[in-house]
Amino acid sequence: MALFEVEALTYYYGGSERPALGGVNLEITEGEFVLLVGGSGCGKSTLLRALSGLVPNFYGGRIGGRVRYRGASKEIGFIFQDPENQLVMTGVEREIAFGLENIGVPPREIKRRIAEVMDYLNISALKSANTFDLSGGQKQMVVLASVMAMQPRVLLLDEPTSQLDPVAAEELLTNVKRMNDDLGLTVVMVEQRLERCFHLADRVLVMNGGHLLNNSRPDDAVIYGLNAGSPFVPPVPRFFAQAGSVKIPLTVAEGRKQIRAMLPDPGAAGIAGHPRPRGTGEWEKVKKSAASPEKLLEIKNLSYTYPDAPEPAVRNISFTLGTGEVAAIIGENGGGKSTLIKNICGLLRPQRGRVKLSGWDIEPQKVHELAGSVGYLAQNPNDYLFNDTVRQEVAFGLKLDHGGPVEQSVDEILAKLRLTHVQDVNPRDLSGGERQRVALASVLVRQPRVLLLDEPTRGLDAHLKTEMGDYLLDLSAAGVAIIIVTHDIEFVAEYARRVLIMFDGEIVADGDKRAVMNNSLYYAPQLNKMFRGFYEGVITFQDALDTLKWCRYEVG
Amino acid sequence: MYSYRDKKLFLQSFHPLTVIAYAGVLVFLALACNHPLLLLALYAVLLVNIKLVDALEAYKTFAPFLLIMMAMIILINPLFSRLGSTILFSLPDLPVLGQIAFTLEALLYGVNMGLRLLVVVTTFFLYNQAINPDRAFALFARLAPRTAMLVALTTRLIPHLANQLKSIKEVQQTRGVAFDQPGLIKKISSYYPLLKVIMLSALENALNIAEAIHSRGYGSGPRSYYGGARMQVRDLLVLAASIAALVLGVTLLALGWAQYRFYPQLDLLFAAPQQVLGLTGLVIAAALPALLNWGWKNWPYLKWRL
Repeated sequence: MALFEVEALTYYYGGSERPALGGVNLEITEGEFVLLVGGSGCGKSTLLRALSGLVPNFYGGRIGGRVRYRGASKEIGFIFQDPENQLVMTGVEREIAFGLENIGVPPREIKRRIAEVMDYLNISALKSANTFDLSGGQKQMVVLASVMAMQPRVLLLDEPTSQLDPVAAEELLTNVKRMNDDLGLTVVMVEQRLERCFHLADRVLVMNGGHLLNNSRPDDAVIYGLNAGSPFVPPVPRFFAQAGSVKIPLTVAEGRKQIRAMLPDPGAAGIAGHPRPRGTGEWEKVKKSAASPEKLLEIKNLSYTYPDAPEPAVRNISFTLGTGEVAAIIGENGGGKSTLIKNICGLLRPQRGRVKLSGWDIEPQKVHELAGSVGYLAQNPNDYLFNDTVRQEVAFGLKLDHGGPVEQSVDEILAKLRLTHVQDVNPRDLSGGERQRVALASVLVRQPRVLLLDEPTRGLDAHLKTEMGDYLLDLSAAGVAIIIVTHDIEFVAEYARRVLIMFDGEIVADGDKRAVMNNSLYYAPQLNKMFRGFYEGVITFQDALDTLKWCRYEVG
Repeated sequence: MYSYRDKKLFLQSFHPLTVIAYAGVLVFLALACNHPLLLLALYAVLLVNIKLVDALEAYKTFAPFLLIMMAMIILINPLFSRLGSTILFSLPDLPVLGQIAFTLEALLYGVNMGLRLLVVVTTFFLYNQAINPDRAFALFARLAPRTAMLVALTTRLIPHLANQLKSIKEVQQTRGVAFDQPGLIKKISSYYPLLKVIMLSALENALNIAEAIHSRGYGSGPRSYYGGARMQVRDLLVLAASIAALVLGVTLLALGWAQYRFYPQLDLLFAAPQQVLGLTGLVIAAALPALLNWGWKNWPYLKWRL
């Protein structure tokens, strides 16, 4: 018998005339792992909240149809996006106790449950820690612990890894899957990192415009996604589906098996580690720059130490960046990536070394004077938004500088970032993806020659990521030099041209992405891992398709 | 910086009730008594305590604010006080205020007032550093659950807001806002957007937090209370010392020995040898936590027993 039964569920948020959910029918059985995917604003979060009862109990609004849950509402645990907004206590132990106190669990039992859940999730060492001192990943683990201590039968997760780095995200997802397997926990999860969780799910639901479009096993969801032109398909299954394979592998391991079956034995044919053929898509994503590249940014022997730190955060960094170049800086957390870009935009000043822009040392210039030439997009777009309309927000930086007519530049940038239709809307009323575009527009409106982006794809769905990547390539074609600091390996593989790896304050690799990412133990995209040992240098999606085409041609 | 950091120190291990009682008695003494030597001694005890909770650095950053407040009191008191007989210098006739004579007595009275204020504010500072907000929450949650929740959320919010303010300021700088411009109006206009961003984000986050605690069963029915801190021997000792200090203080007040007369002329510091004894006892009682801390560190026996 189904644990959840959703019948013809329609829901309007208070004050809205557009339904957030329109006639959703769904059944979820006990112990299932259900993945819910779709673009921002498609209603997936609302559906999750309807399952938990937050819609309509917390949100109000108008509801039609029915959600039936066979059990008590306190058996449903909910984990949200940002751990920062879920922790309420100062200490970890009390944080875990908080939910148990709320439902009246006796103190002795609370003690035992805290011990068990912390051991299970391997976070016992954090028991007396201050929640403020934890990393983002640890915070979300504490949230998971405090929800699991309440011993829910169902766990609902709304993009739980969107604020985490890949290692922490992987750990969280692994734990959720383990609890699904071990404890028979029913899991319904909204998630954007499809490549990490598609294979974990028993069922994938695809939503759009408040409607449930697809409800099937993951491999069928891939076929559906491809036929519908949906971007919500991870690279490995997308590749096989596009290549016309009947069986759709979901993971790298399954993919390798499939490749072995599709291609001739690499050992026997003497093509082991074969260099990848040069296909049509070699520089497919790099649009031709108008002018020939010239040296725009030059960094020489840069070192920076934070005032209260014993060791430098970055040391002896030297590199140059030409016009139109797109470079990605990747590497561990705390490796100095953000420190480096803050040194470039003048927020931090190096104790040693130089930063030169078009041959001029930036040292005598203040941050706000550099603003016109170096653009900086911080992680959280909300940090930008305070004006009453999108138009004012975008014009803000320009008005500081000019005081004169700015309307034309604002119009241009609004049109370019597809914001014209919302120009009179308050930016705080926009969705996450739109807010990100407004923040980017307010940086780009000053026409910087160098653009620095800190984790620009964090929290974006697959569709918005593609959009963001395409903007960046347009900018690059117009001659803007771009540095992206990110953990998003798949994004780097598709859109960057050059990759720098930072470790412990130093640059340990710098070069063309094909050289740096190929066969990297950790920093290789999934398709590269899948082709490892068969063909070298497969980095982008197009590379993989070209390789396959070439093989079929060569081998017959 | 001013918020609680659990450093596993002895003075951070007390029951919240003990800390509240101790701090309450200190504040009462500082407000009721005005004997300069007593105030000085209490201040010294407080400084030692602050050192023992490893918060001297944080206190230093707080000091300029305290000094400005003290200076204002010291300067303002002689302006309005007509008492005192030893005139240091006189100002010419002023409208409204009339003839003003700065007297030695009024000046010292102001210094003493400043000292009193210093003791009170420093006690609150120490309280913040010594009490674990979560344990305080557990205590108050029984008495006033809603208020306790509000206080707990606010406590967590402050360091978070400080971080947020820093990153928003960075964003504004890279958008071209200059924060170091001269002139008050320009300064205010450059900082105004920061406050706006903070406010808007805080409002959005508030809704998310409300949703999160709602989904964790907050307010869903009768609640239980976990791990209210237990009273230990050290708590009983400090509570006893606080009560003793209170009784002694009230007695000294009744005898007039906790007061010092500034006007019309400075009085003798001590009226009788018993007064010295009484005041010393008071200070020793106030210093008990620091003394226990010393014993706890140096004598294993005390470590086990306390």
